[in-house]
Amino acid sequence: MISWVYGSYLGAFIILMSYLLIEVHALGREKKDAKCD
Amino acid sequence: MNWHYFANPNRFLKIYGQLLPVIIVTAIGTLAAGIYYALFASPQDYQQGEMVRMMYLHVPAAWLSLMLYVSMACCNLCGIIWRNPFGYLVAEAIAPVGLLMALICLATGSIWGKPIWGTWWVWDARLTSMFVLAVLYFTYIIFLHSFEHKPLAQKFGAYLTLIGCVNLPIIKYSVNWWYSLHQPSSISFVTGSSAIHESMLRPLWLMSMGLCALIAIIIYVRTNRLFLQMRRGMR
Repeated sequence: MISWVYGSYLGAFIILMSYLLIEVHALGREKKDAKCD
Repeated sequence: MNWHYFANPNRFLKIYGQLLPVIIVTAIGTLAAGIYYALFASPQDYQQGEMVRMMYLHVPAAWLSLMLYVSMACCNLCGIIWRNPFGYLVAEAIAPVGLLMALICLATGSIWGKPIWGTWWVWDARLTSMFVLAVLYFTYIIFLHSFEHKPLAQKFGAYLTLIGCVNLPIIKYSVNWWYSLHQPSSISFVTGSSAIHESMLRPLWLMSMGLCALIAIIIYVRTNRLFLQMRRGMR
C-alpha cells in the first residue's frame, strides 16, 4: 500500500507544480501583450 | 491597522511581490523537510502502518481548502461592501486553487479510506460536506464564466460564496454532530490541544506551511495576471 502513498504525493505535487507553471506562462504572455499594447 | 491601505491593487501586488522571495524560500525549505519527515523520518502507526503517511497530505489539503474558502468569501464580502472590484478579482484568483485543494483532500481521503475503512467512499456527513465544498468552488468558477456581463457574474458569485459559508461549520462539526466513519478532530486550534504525538505533528506542520507557501505563490501569479487582464480592459 505504500506505493499508493508515494503515488498520491507525486500526483498532488505534479498537479500543483503544473498549475503553477501554466499560470506563470500565462502571466508572462499577459505581460508581453500588455507591452505590445 | 488600516486595511483599506491594501485595497489598492498596485500597492497590494507590490508588497506581495516584495514578500515573494521569502515565500518561495519558505515553500522550498518546508516542503523538502516536510516530505522527508512525512515519507521517511516519521514513525509508522501501530494500527494503520505506512498508510498513516497519507495524513501529512490529506489533512493540510483539507485545512487549506477551508482556509481558502474563508479567504475567498472575505474578499467577495469586501467587494460587495466597498464595491471594490479588486476584492472580486482576488476571490477569482483563489477559487481554482481552493478547488484543487478540496479535490486533493477528497482523493487522498478516498485512497486512505480503502485499506483502513474497507471502502473508497461513503456518503457520511464529513465526506458529503467536503464534497459539497468542492461543488461550491466548482459552481463559483462556472458562474464567473457563464455571464456576458462580468461585474454581474462577480456579484452573483460573491453571494453564492457567502451562502456557501453555511457549509463550513457543518464540515468542522459534522464528526461531532452525527455518527461518522471519519474520526473526530485530533487537533484543536481553539484550546491548542493535540492528540497526535510530536513525531507526527512535525511533518504535519511542515507540510501545512509548505503547501500554504506554495499556494501563496500561485495566488500571487494568478492575481497579477487577472489584474493585468482587467487593466487591459479584457475583463
